[in-house]
Amino acid sequence: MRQPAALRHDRDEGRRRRGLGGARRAADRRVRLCLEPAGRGRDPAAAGKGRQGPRRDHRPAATSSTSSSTAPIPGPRSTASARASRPSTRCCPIRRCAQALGAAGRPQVGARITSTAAPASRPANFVNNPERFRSKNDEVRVQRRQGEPDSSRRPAGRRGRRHPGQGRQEAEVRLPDLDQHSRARRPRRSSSRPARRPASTSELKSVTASVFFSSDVANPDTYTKFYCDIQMYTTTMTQPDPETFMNQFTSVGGRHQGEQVAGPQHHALAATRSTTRRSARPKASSIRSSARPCSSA
Amino acid sequence: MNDLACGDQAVIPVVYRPRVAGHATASCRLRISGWDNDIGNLQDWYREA
Repeated sequence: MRQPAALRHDRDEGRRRRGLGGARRAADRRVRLCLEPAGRGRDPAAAGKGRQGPRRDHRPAATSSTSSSTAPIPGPRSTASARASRPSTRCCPIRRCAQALGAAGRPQVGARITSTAAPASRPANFVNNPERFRSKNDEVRVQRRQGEPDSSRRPAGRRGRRHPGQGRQEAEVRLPDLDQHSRARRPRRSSSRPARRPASTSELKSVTASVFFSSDVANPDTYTKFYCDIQMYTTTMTQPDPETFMNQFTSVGGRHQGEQVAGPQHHALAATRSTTRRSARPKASSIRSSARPCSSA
Repeated sequence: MNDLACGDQAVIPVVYRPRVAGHATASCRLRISGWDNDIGNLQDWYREA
């Protein structure tokens, strides 16, 4: 079987410095150096499980995370802490931008790519069936500001990126138009502009399913270690009960590899619904979003 | 709860993927469920003449 380019010993193995792998040219050493200070990537059953790899190469996580921007972030990155803040979890405009990109591209995906095999879902429907639980709330929650001077735009940091803690919440994602007809005419323009406005950079990574679901302890792209800010996936509603399906966003079932997916307001709602389940169940899909507190950093 | 998860951008729905169970040119009244067999309620099928 042909090895991935990053693991081929006759190549650079994806490293910038050839000597990083040590005398033995351990292919996974660079990965371990990144993962282990953060407490990830260890094989719990391996010999010497307390540490894997030469100890001298390990830097303390506390100093490395503050001194260098490329140092591994300690702990799960979705945690709302100052040292491990991620724009997708902490920054409302970034998440609104992602939603706007989805709203702008969704009709094109449904009409031109997947066609009748996968129609575009309504703008905000994770529960598509049964029909009585389908949300009628079609509002795309992206605020558009018209006629604003460019000086009101949030200043971007170096190379167009945001400076951490530089007034993120004052930024708004602005879109040219969000109505159906303008999206059909200008899909490319309307989907690229919101990505530039919040001055965010992104890296797209695609992992093959056979790699993602494998159990290679040295591979950071397996489902037990893979971590990203936004992940595109397909899920199946295995039963017609939407309450069970939406449990993944609550503290009952909303955990991905031990990390919390949703916010505290979801748990509060789930707690309310669990106590009034029998009487309020038919109204489960009529919860208004105006009661939704926007997560802010 | 759906509005909460979607409005908070915890999840961004893109497409949903129904399954084709049959095709007919005539007007048929079928109620097909995604959580049951395609012919799960075969006894209730009828076709308008």
